[in-house]
Amino acid sequence: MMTRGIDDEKLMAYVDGELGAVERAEVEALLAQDPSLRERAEMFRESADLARFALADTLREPVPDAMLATLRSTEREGPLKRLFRRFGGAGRQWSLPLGGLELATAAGLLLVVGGVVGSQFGGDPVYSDAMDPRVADALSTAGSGTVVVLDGSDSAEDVLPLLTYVNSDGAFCRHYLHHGVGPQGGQTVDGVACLDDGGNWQQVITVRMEASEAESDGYVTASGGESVLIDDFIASTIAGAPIVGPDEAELIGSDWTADSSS
Amino acid sequence: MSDTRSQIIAMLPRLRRFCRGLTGSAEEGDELVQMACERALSRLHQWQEGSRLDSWLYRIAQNVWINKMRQEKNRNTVPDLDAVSAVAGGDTRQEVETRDLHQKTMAAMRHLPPDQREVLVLVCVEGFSYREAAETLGLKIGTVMSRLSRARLRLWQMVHGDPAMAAAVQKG
Repeated sequence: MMTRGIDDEKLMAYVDGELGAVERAEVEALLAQDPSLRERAEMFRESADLARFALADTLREPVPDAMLATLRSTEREGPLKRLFRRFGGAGRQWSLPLGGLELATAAGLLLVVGGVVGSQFGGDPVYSDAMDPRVADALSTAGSGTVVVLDGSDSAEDVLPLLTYVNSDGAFCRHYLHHGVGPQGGQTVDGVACLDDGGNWQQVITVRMEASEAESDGYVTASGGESVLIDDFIASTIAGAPIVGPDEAELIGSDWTADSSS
Repeated sequence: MSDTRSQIIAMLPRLRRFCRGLTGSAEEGDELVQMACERALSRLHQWQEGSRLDSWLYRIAQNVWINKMRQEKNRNTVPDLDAVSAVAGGDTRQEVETRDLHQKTMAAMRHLPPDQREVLVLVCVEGFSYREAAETLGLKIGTVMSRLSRARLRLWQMVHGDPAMAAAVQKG
């Protein structure tokens, strides 16, 4: 709408303080002699106030926990960094045995800050996935933090062992990620497998998750809830310290024949 | 936690306000914040140190929202303006009036076309200059100004029940 040579946009720009000195003076001269123009300027001022008013309370509301948890819990980490965060780094002296709660606390931020887990094993674990022999082979031969690309898959499947430990039954167990499973290879299995008496890897817990859209860094990090679930599971079943570095290499070299109780 | 992450957390209240303005609803706004944060986290490497983090976040939120609206276009639900005018009793007259105006204004904002709404929120609520809004949204300044003036005219007229505008809004 044009009112005596000034259009709405210019009038609005005047109200918003977006005009330079010359134009501002022009508008002010027109405003001085035109009540209807003043009314219209007032409308622009009030409409901005209305928009602010409508949303004013938002800033005073506490930010929901879920929102904070998103920002605090989905940090993308390499497997080693994740291990370090979980168990405090390779150089740490372990006090044995670690209680489940202590370890869960060491495991994360996630449990403590995010408040994601309601019950100890909240979530939806799948126990029934059969062990893929290629995954079993990778678990037998690869050190933690080493990606093993699986043969015979068109969808770039790989297995990434993350951690080796002995559980409360005295069995060797490994936490691992299996990428590129499911339809279009869009899923990742986050799981723990343990060696049975016959020397075969048995899955004890797995969580399947969708790989989120931007996994450009080549591995999938479990989202908050899922990694907490697995972390929590490990925390409650681990006996003693995780087996790392040369100890793990020696164990793999011996084809897992070392006595797990020693 | 990285600095950027902490900065985003510090900006959450403002991001919520922006998203609430964009969607016209507290629930949808928070949902959008959530999605925008997830996307921002997956793209932290794309943010250029030294540029405005808030503009970057708003742009991400706006993109997420546009995509979401595109997906939902088929089940297009426009909130009922009349339904919002009902106000619960029990408070002082002033409180009732304030709340009434608040609800009316939120409803009116929901009725604005999305492209007008985002400009309105950036400039009038978030305090962006026309140029900053144009850069954030990838628009020309002239486009920002024309959308903004139309948005404000509509908003004002819807809130104040201008009959001539009501007709125009129906058409729009």
